[in-house]
Amino acid sequence: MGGFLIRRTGAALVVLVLASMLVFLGVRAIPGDPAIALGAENRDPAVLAAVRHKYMLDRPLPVQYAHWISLAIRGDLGVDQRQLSVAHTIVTRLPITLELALLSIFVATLVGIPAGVIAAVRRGKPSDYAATAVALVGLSVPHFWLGLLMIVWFAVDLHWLPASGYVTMQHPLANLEHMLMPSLVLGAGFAAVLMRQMRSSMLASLGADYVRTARAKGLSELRVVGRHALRNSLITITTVMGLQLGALISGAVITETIFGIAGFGRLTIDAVNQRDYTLIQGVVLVAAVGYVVANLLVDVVYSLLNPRIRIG
Amino acid sequence: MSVAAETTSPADPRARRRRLLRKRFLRRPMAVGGLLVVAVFVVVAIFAPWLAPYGAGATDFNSLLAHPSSKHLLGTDELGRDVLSRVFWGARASMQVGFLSTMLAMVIAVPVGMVAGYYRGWVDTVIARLTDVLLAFPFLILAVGLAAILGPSLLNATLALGVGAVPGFVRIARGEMLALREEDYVPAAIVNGANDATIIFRHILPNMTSTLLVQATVTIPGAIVGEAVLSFLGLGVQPPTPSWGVMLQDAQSYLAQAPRLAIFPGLAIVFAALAFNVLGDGLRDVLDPRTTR
Amino acid sequence: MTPPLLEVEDLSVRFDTDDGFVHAVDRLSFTLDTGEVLGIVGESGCGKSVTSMALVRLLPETAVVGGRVLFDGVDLLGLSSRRLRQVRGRQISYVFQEPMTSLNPVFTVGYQIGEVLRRHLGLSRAAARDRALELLRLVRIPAPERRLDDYPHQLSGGMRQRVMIAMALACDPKVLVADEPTTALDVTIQAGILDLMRDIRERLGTAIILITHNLGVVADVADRVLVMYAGRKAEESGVDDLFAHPQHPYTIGLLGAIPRPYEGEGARRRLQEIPGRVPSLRVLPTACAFADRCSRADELSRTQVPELREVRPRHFVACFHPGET
Repeated sequence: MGGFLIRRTGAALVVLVLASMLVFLGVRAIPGDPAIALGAENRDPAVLAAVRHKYMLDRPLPVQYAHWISLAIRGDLGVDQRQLSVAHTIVTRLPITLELALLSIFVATLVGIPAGVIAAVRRGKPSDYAATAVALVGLSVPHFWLGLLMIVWFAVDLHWLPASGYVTMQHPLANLEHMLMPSLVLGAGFAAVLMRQMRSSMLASLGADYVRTARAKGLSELRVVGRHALRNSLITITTVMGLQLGALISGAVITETIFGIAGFGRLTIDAVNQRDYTLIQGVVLVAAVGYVVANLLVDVVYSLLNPRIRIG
Repeated sequence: MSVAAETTSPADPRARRRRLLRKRFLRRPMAVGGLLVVAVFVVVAIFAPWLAPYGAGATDFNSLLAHPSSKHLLGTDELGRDVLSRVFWGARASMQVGFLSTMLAMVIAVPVGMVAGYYRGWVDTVIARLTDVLLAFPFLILAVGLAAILGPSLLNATLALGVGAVPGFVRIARGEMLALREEDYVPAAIVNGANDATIIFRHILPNMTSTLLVQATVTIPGAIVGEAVLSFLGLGVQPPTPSWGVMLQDAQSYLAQAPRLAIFPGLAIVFAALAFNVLGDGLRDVLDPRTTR
Repeated sequence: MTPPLLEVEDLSVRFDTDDGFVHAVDRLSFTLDTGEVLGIVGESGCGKSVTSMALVRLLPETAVVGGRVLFDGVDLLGLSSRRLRQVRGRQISYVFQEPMTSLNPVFTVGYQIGEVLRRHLGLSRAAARDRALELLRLVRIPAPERRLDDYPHQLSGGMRQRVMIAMALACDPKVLVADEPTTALDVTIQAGILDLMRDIRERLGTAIILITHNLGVVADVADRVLVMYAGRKAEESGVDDLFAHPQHPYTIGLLGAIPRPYEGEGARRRLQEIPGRVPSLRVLPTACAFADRCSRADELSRTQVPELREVRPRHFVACFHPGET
């Protein structure tokens, strides 16, 4: 297990470095004077000079990169167009998106995993076709469209739920009211993916020799499926989860936009629309770092769950 | 269970396999249906200028936000533009982005994946890390970045979606290569003096086309939805050029009054993506040696 | 005369596939007495594994099974699922070919053995653990206390197979069905496993159905042998008589194909191949299935299906031209 984790951490570090380089180069690739971009479009020569000095723009690229990275690691991501600390903005908005993400994952797991198991166990029967069909539709429906429709029906027509906005956790009930539709919308797409992965994984497990052995031992079908097959499938699924996080981030961006939630995702779009390059840079960097770290955590969980890795 | 083959000549197994695959495909009404719907969308996309009753930007200020009628089968939008026509025109953008981004991804990813699987070792590791870097940027973030540098456009959307699809294809191509390189014809080709490039591209590649095809049919719907998302957010196709995502953006302001403005383009997306997904699923089933029918 | 423990009557197994039906087993009948070791021999695809799994309905749903499998007088093929599960693992146990994939990789050895004990004998966890330890000692696994908490991937192939056997013997079954138990193992390990099986039969009195394509294995352990070809019984007899006086041309061919590098006279003779291939199983045979590959084939063999006849004491052949030459 140690060896596995060391290798995964090493890989993650490499990826982080490369990703940060990409972000760094990306900002430098913006047409025009980088000082203007990084200085949030302030063309005051004094400010420009300060920006140039801060980011060492007159030095060779590798030096710039090293400096920029050292600043970033210490939490200094610069200031945006409104002279607000980028890092601070991100930190305040991130928990909102995290809450959305966690709720969505919860919804998706609650629906997707049992659906996938049932579909696999009843393969070829009507419930399998039904579940698979629903999952296919779930994959094909752009969930932001679903969100729009839900707003129309539940908020505008029925007045059951608020159309938009966010309320902090200090008011848990109101918070939930506002988060319900967004997490259903974001969770729906994820649920569809999970269901299909789970079904496919269960089918593989159910076809494995050890399931035949379990049946030959006279174990009840419930035990065969619920213990022997399911345990293996769930472990396999974790490797897939990490990859889905990227889709979740993309989904959060749109969901927050539609539902008017001022989270990290929304921040991304606002940054582009305002052409706030420092903010964009900070946001993209944090998103990438977040993804890599999250995947590493998934790797850790996986190594704990899989006996073949836990005990060489 | 071994079943003795009854053929004798070497050409027969291939033709026989094709016939078998076709038979299996036709036995799946869903997959056939998917293929037909896909064909319809492609036709509409290509022949939109001739099929659409009105031009993409043709406005009619006398009937704004009109309900569906004989003159405008799906009604009109806030500028009096015919919704049906815009859905047709929008198909162009979506199909374009869908196909082009997938092809872009394949052109880049398949050779890379094959090389990684063929040579293994440090080449594989390097490629794996680079793919990981790509994965660290979900397509939306990529689109955001590209929009910052190049400005938002259809091209942008295509690039962002194409790059986003690369890791998937790399993984598939690599996986297939790892399996196929163990086949007997590989050492046979080596012994006959073939160089690496010939082996990879002329001998092994043709054997992975079916798997790649399945992956493509499953990637395209993601690209179609992705294009809608990007255009909706203003990162892709810019108005007034019609695209389903742009239509949804416009519809947002009129959601309460005329939800149909959002429903119709949304349904178009759903049907197009669904058709591809169903087709892809069917193809995967047909090509999977483990399924019995 | 005590009635046989297991009586298989006219067992047929048919698979429904893409290109039509595959008749894997065609009207197979045989019996197994208490404490007897029956070897079922044949090449790949002859239906021996399918037969063994059909006994307790372990085949996939695409299989259509006909005939009767009487165990202690009860037809297993007609039994309810619940009662069938009481037979599986308790009265009739299995050992499969691939120990690595046949054991669940995410549970410990002790857990997997204990599972059977808790399910069928209602033992507590502690009691099950003790008994599992005993069983590991029975199958001669060194340092069994440590092995209990190991996962399958931590053991060698031979040890895993011993674990499978321990698991199968846990409830002291009347019948042990071993499907190619040594095929996936190294030759040196094979002998150990076969020794173990002989030991089990002697000490516990368990009847064993040993399925293999290896005649050498059968010679070692079995009392009686059943030779299968293309889903049907070709020959059946006591093991000594089979080797000394083989009747069916297929059996003779199989014996001729055994490499005997150390025999004196004629030791350098060519291995005899049996020309031709196994026929397609898509249609039920209307003639002798072996006719195409047989040097004795004639008009009769090509037009009629040979039935089983007793040509020597307790030695049956399905052939129109049986005999040793």
